[in-house]
Amino acid sequence: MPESRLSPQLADSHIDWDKPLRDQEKAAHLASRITFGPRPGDLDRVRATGLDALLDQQLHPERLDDRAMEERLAGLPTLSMSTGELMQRCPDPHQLQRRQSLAKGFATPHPGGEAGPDAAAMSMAPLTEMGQFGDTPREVLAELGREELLRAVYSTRQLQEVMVQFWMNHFNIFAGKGPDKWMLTSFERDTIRPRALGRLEDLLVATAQSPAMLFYLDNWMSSAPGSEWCGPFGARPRFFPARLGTWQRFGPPPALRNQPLTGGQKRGLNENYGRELMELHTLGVNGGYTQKDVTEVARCLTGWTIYRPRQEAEFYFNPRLHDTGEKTVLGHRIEAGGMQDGLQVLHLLATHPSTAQFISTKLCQRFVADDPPPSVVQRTSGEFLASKGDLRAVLKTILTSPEFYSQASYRAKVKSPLEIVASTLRALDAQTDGGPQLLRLIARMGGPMFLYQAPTGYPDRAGTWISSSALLGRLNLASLVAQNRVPGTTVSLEAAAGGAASSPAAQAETVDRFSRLLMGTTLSGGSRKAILNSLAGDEGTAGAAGGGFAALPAMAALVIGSPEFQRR
Amino acid sequence: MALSRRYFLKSAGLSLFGAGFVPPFLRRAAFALEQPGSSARKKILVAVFQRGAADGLNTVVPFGDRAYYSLRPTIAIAPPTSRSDSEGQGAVGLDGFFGLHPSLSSLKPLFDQRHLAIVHAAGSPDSTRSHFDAQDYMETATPGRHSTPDGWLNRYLEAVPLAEATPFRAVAFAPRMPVTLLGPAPALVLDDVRNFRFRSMDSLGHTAGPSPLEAGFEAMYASTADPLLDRTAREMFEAVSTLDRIGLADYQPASGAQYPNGPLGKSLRQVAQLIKADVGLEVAFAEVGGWDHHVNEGGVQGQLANSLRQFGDALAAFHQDLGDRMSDVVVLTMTEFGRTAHENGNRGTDHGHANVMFALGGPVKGGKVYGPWPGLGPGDLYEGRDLALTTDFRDVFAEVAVRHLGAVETQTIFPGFSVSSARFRGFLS
Repeated sequence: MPESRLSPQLADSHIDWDKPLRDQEKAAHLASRITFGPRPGDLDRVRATGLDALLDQQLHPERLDDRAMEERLAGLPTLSMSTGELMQRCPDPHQLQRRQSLAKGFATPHPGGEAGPDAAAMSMAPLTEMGQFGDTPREVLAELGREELLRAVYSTRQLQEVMVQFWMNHFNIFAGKGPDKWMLTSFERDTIRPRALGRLEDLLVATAQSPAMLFYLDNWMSSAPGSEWCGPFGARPRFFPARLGTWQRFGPPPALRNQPLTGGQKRGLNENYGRELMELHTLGVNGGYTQKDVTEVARCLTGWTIYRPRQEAEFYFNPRLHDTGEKTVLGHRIEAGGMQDGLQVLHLLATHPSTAQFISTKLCQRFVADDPPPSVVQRTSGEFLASKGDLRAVLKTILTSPEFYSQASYRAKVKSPLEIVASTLRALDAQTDGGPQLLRLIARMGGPMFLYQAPTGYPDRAGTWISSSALLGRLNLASLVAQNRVPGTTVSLEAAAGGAASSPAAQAETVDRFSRLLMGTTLSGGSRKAILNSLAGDEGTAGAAGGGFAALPAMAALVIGSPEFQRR
Repeated sequence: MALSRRYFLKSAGLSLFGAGFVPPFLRRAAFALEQPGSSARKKILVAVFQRGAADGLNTVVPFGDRAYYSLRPTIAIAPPTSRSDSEGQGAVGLDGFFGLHPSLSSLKPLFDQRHLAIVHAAGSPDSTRSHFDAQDYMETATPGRHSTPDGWLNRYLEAVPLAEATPFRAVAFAPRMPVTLLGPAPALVLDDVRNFRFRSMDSLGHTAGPSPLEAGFEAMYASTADPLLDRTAREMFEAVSTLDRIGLADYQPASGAQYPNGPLGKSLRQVAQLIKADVGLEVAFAEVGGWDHHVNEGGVQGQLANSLRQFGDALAAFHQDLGDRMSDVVVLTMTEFGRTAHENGNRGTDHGHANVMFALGGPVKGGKVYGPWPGLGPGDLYEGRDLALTTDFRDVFAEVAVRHLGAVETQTIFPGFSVSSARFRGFLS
């Protein structure tokens, strides 16, 4: 077994991308990047069948049997519900109260309608059906978080899960914004997951049409000036019930009636999504678009909205909201009209060289290093354009590149909170239900799921995950898991360790066994020495009957909490 | 509560290192303890960031400007009224032109006692209306520049180094390091001081001293060649042992101060504890979200009112809790931009431009609203829609850095901006 080394990036400030990894390190390296960490025996299997076989297998998840995964998720009912069902069956407590009041006749519907003409239908539903499911929106999100964690730990389609997490972050949606908390389940299941290893353009179109994104970035209420929703009184679409406002009765205030419409202020047009689509989802902030392009893209996407937002909450193109005029985006004339305008823009963006560059950079950040060398980014970008955004081809380029298999990439990335939890549980062959304590620990480590407020998503850099409180969270994770103090999760350390260790020599052997289990190699000299010293210095372990077992949780915790294990 | 040197020697697990070798962070802390005057009575800044662009026009209401009422037909706050039966229905008058939103009534006595100053129509000259861009620009104090790698307060820490700084010199109460404190100078991120500890190791069967687990973790990280982990770990370990010693679990705020239950109340309560514990806190950062009221912002009642009540009560409780110690403390509030002068069709407001900042503390020349008022008439609005800017936020930051924290050289703290005391609004003596 090779003795482990720290990434040379740390020991030496000059990063040399030309030094290749030793053969024995490649399996651990590939596994740590395209899976959530090796399970016992995984690395031996990979060394036997070869790196190419592993990569090929993971690039074709459809060939992998994952039925056991689906069985594990069977007990989480919200995962298969539509957004409409979730809204109906998991209302906010005060909404439930209101519905019940309406149904019982204790309250009258608002004149503008609770949600339009369907309020009557909703208020007629028997009380027994409303809210009886018992979940609140928070529990809906907890169940979704649990699914992500369980899949990371147990799915055979590991690279697919890695990519689902990548895209959920790239197309970040904040669950705290209004009804997005009910929309994320479908977003993950119907929008992202089926396309995680497909073509970027398909992902773009699907996210552009997802109610979750339409609401989060406000495109659902973007409309052309003069369109029906932006009628004579400047009325705006409403998502939540409201009384008829002053504007509906009397029109906009005098101060505004004669306001000239300046660029970007066209009443009704909302540029939020148009801007983020280019800045964050495709071209990147330096991708070469202008403010005018933002406005034009927004015009193209008017009409892309949500049908019956409180019932089905589905994508719907409303031609009456659409700006039918001619537009110019990035020098291209868009004149088809209708929904085709938006599709044309999405195609333009999906195939743009800046998009190839931006997406390739982010993928290289995920798979190679926080600051990947330009060589691999360029090569990947070329493949992106040549393959028209085929993510499998793009990933294969990265994951077979010399930069990927270089010493500079080895353990260069800090694991995200989800990654450290999943890799710990996989390495220890844990039995887990993915329960709430684990999600709380992930939040404590600075990465609460679905709660990053900005559409940028969590930055994929070491500094995002390393702070005093996050590090304390990681060490606590290590000790809680090792001591089997996480409800719903059990690990068997004796099995992992292969028995008790009472003599110092046996302890050293056990520590080495744990570290090979968790990382594929032994720890650095400094870490190893520190661990053995601390065990030797503790009277509780030396000599006492059965004292060897007391040391096992400590040893496991120390390895899980080691600086090396924080990296992949 | 003084910390004994003996405690540090004991908890360092010197047996691990052998006599004679004392790790650098311990030497630093031990030095601080031997010079009791050095870390006490320093000036303290508490920066409070309202994330989401709080609505300044409904926070400090320009009731004296008639255009305000025509721009906001349903969500405007009525002028102050002397009728006692409509208390809470109108602005709390400050100076005949401006008034506080009634939910901020707990700040009124502080204004009258001249501890609270307000700078209105302040903010960023950059025109972005993107939340995270604008937050980045404000936290790096480089509007318009995406590439600044560090926050303005981290640059202050670097510009004014402290030989005897403890790891508590800069503390952020946030889930991750805020950009404001990002950079080479060390800063702690805490989620909850009562909970900032290792989980119980009792089941591992030790009785005396630090558990082998804690000692082992500490030793591993002390020996790692990973600079980011090494540095962060050192700060974290020392913070844990210091907090353990101080024992913050049973803290009782002084003078009957009652912090509201929300995130800001919780954070400020802990800032107060750390200040009183004399651990060397100089710069604290807290944040509070939920200000992005595009829909149903409400007027006297509603979402903004609820957020403001928490906000004002937390600041007032902090002031009350610290009592005399406020003579060394300035709390400065900020938010990335303001909101549209007119309401939108959803009883809310959209992203705007200039906003309001509060400065609270002993050194503050309170009882006044600073900054020229640009007006809300059609010709006065920025881009025809927003409150225009008359004070650059960097001038406010610089006044605090220079006049309160004592920074002399400001070029590195505010790159690309020439600080001039002629432009200070004068809210600090």
